[in-house]
Amino acid sequence: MIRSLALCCLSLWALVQDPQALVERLNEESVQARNEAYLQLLREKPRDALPLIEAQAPNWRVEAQELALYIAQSYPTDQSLPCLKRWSTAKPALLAAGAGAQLLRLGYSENEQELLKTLRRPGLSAADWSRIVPKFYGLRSAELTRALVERIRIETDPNALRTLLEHFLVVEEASVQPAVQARLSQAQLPAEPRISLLAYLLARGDESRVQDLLPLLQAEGASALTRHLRFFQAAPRMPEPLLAWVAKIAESSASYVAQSALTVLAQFATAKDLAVLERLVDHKDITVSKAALDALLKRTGTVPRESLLRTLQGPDPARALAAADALRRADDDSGYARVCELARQSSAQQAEALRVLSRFVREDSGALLIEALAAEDLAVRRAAEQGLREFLPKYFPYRRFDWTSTSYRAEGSREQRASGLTQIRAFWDSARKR
Amino acid sequence: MLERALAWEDPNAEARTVWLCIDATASLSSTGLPEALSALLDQPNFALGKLKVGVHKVGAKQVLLPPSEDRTALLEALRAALAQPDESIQDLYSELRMLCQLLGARAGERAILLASLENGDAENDIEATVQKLKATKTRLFVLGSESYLADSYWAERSYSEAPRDCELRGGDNAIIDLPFGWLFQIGSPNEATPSGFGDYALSRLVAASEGKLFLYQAASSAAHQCMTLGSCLFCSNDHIASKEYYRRALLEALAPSLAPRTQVLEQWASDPYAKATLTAWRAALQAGLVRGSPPRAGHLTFVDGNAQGKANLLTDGKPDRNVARAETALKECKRILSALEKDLERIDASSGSPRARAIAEFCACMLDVTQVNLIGYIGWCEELAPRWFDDAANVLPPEIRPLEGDPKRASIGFSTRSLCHGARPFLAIELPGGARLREALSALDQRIQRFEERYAHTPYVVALHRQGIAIFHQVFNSRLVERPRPRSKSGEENGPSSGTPRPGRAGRSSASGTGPTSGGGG
Repeated sequence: MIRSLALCCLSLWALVQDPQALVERLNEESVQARNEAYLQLLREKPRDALPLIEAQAPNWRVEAQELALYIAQSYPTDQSLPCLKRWSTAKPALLAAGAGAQLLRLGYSENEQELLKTLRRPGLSAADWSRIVPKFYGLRSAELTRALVERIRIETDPNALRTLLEHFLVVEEASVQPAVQARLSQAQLPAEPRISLLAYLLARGDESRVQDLLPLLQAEGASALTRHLRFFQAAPRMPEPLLAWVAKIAESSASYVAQSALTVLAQFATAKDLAVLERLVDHKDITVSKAALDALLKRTGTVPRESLLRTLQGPDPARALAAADALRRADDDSGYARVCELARQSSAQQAEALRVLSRFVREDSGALLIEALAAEDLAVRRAAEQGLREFLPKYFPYRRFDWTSTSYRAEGSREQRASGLTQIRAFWDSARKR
Repeated sequence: MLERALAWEDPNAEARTVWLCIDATASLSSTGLPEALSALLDQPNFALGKLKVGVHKVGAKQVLLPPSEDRTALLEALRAALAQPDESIQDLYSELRMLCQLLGARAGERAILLASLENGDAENDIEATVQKLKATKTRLFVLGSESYLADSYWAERSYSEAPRDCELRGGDNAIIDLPFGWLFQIGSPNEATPSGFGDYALSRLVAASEGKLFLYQAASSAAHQCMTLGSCLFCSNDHIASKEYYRRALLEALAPSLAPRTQVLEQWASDPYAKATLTAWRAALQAGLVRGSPPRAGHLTFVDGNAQGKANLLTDGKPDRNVARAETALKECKRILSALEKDLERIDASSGSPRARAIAEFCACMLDVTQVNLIGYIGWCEELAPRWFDDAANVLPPEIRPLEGDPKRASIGFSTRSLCHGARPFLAIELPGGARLREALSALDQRIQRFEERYAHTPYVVALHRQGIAIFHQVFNSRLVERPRPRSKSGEENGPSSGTPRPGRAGRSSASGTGPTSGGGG
């Protein structure tokens, strides 16, 4: 075990020493290998790597080109600019469009024409468009907007069309609605793009087509809600029949979908839907239960204090933590002692207890989080590290922190952790005294 | 809302004419007005015939549709009015007078339904409009947006250009009766606190013409945020501020007067609570503790340059030199607060208005908050600022040195941390000022608790929560490096765009506001 860990560390160290090898791994067939190289490049940002990525990316698989774009954008602008400029005229459409969009974001509007030329290239497939469109998300530019509005009229890939419309949720443009209406008038339009177009109208406050949208959603099922969640969340109002459908989904769907439905209910639920939320607070899945409680708190502005206090003293630690957290949100610290108790105990709930604890900005929280940095369980150490990173700037608003100035890493070796912990304890002891 | 505007007052009346006056903005376009009208016209009580409806778009040279009984034409005209939103400041009041003129020639019942979510604050001769409505026996119904509590937005921006013959005012009351622009605060609660009522000017017209004002609030606009800028110290943007949800009965007790503006000012000046506030306000202005001037007959409220100048002295120069200035300001703040408290104790509660009392007590809270901030400032100047540029400062990881740079080029800045969670949580964190600050914070916490007991679920608690405890820091005068402006290869050089006709009013759209659900009013 130790030997394999050492070998792994050695190979990662070797990769940092050899940027060429690291860059090549970005284009490997294995998704895991690609992602590992991507994360390492993102973290380390070796200066020599960017020219290598710039030269090689045009010949890579499209997934690797996506990663190359993200990495290039993460470098300081003075380093990434030459690369983006060269890519903006590159042969692969994704690189050209992605680099062009980033240049526009950086204020280089002179590159807009080049970007528009890329979008007019013949032979851009639906798959190309579905990768290109997200690159423009939220980008405001008159000519680009015109090109994208035209795309609404012809886009065949449902995912690309949905992404396009999501872009126009952020970038308000009067000509989108006529384009959406024109597309909806096509008789042969399949259900999924039709839902996206109708959901867009709803998001813009146009409820005249709700009677067309509802049966399509009912036929498509709960997954249509999660795919179109942004549209529902952007709507100024939620018509009653749609809200009833969402409430039904919240009660009858799997955890993930129920949570999406609950975010919509948190925004729009009326007195009629409160009973559904109250029932879901007792859901067997704790994530659904928490989302329901959240929605209930948002809609009513009050906490069911007595019931939460009972839950707090109940046998289920996960629910007790959720109750303590809900009480904290309403400025009620009744659950703090129980959270501290659970944060001290080595158990399956300790990591969650530390996460909840870090939101109570008190001296005891800091001390407990620091103690938990020494835990054997990696998940507990991670929760404590993350919690402390959030806690310290709140507890000491006049101090500046840089976590990389300590040697502590939750994933680090025992020795590294011990030396880091000594530093953090020394800081805590000296700062607390002031 | 449409039902009330279109409904017959007298079932035996021969005719009823209603003008829909549409102030087309993006926020109004998303209210679903055409769909609601279409559904209403399906009902037999609202059949067109003897009932005629016309459509006028604010700012248009000609009416879109004269009073008509053609349902299709009516809906088309309404959609056309909403199709092209115009975000520039519009003069609603002269248009209302023009519509009254047109209505005057028509027999039977007369009404105007004004749909305007943005422009009630551009006032043009309210009393002349009242007279016109009364003379033509026209009832005014308004679909409007919730105004801010004693809105000081335009008073802070007195340089803003208004349409011809208009004055930019706004707010729920005829005057800005809530002191604004407190020392060491980012923004005024007057620009961030939903009042529960519509704009004073529109409310006045509606009340005088026996009409009704309906407040529009988008269903998704009720999210609470502790801080407008930055993050809250005491929550993760998940605070449930239950005291900020308005209750109608409490709001009604605190409603502003809808009398003519001159009368409102007279009433206010004779209210004992308002008198006490005014004395404290003037003294605070003199001491530079607040920068907004109090209302005065015949004058617009504005930002007082002298008061602003005094406040600026505390953010200029070296921190150690400012301690004496801050101590003087603190002494004055204590004196004003003590005098205000004595004044308030002497007042018979039944002799003053509840609104004036709420404002006087809010003023006392703000003086207390300012005291805490001055103590915090003195603590920062003495304990922290001198060490911030000290190379030899003993800093242990994960802490890093606060600042690197030339202290000669630094001035003093601050951010505020909201009082949304009260003052007590500030006692648990590390702040400069020692025992003196802790004592002041404890006293402030007591005062806030008493204030919340009385004013929970009203805008006054929200206003207090939108103010904060200041956190001070040094700021550097940055050197701006401008990127060369791109030149076009052909044709004219791309010049800077001309300013938008209306100054940006971030977060003020009723459709995207982040204020609490107020529970209506108006």
